[in-house]
Amino acid sequence: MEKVVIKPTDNTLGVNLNGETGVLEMEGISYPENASRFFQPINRWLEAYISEVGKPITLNLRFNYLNSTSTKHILDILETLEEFHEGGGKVMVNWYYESSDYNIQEMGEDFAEDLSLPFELITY
Amino acid sequence: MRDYKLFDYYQMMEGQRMILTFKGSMSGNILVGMAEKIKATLTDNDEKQRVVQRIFSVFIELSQNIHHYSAERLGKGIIVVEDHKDCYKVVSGNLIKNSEIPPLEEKINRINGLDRAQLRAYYYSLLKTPRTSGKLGGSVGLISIAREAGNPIGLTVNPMDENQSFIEIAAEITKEAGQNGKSGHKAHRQHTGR
Repeated sequence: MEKVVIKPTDNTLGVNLNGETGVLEMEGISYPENASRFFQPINRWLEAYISEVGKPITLNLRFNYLNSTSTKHILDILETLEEFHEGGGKVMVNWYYESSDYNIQEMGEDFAEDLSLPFELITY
Repeated sequence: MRDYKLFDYYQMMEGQRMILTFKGSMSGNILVGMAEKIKATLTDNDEKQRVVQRIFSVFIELSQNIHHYSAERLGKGIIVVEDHKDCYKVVSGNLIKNSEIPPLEEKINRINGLDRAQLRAYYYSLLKTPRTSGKLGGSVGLISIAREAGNPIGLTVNPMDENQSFIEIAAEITKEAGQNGKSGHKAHRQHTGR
């Protein structure tokens, strides 16, 4: 599968989706004007990976700020992984947060509580 | 012909402790520039990181909220940040179709009636609801504003004619007492939703 690499900007995430290793990384700040347009290729890639490759996925997330619309899109991605996990797929989510960043910590705790998939909260 | 004095506006803004104002169509780039500027200015003023983050978030959500409701060109409106003794205020204003006012009032009243835990539950219930029209209808943005601000959202409607009104949405972020700088200890979290 093709790699997806998106460079971070002031209001969009840095993204690295590696189909060979199954390691997916997203980091930074997200409040784009058009969040659907930004997240669409990521969702497409993930759906293709799950249906065509189906190998274990490690999702590393290291956010500094997500606006409400971006939060919705991240939750969509996590729900896709939850479905994959429930169907027998192997998934690991690592949620990194800065030790003083209670917003991102709280969001990670909320997601971990709401979703049934291996979810690790890691402070740095 | 210009029949006003810009100086009058300047003095009014100073008197109201406005530290940042913008009127026009807010593009993504302008929003980034302003949001970054707020962060830098308040950080330079030794404001607490936690408070800076809240203002940053409320400013972004209110700016993007204008997109949902502006009856004029997409994103056309006004946004103001005020620095008061005990709090910061972020206020957005834009034209809106009169027909959209009752649902907006209903949303804000509902949000203002919820405590912190209820706001969290409401937020996630909406995030998890599959989008039917491809739009979140502005509710999650408003809930996010209420959660970040930790105070009720203010709504002022200024009727213009039978078709449209000018609305003002205001969020107040209380300043935190104590040491400046990177504190952000859990005990400092004081928003209870009301």
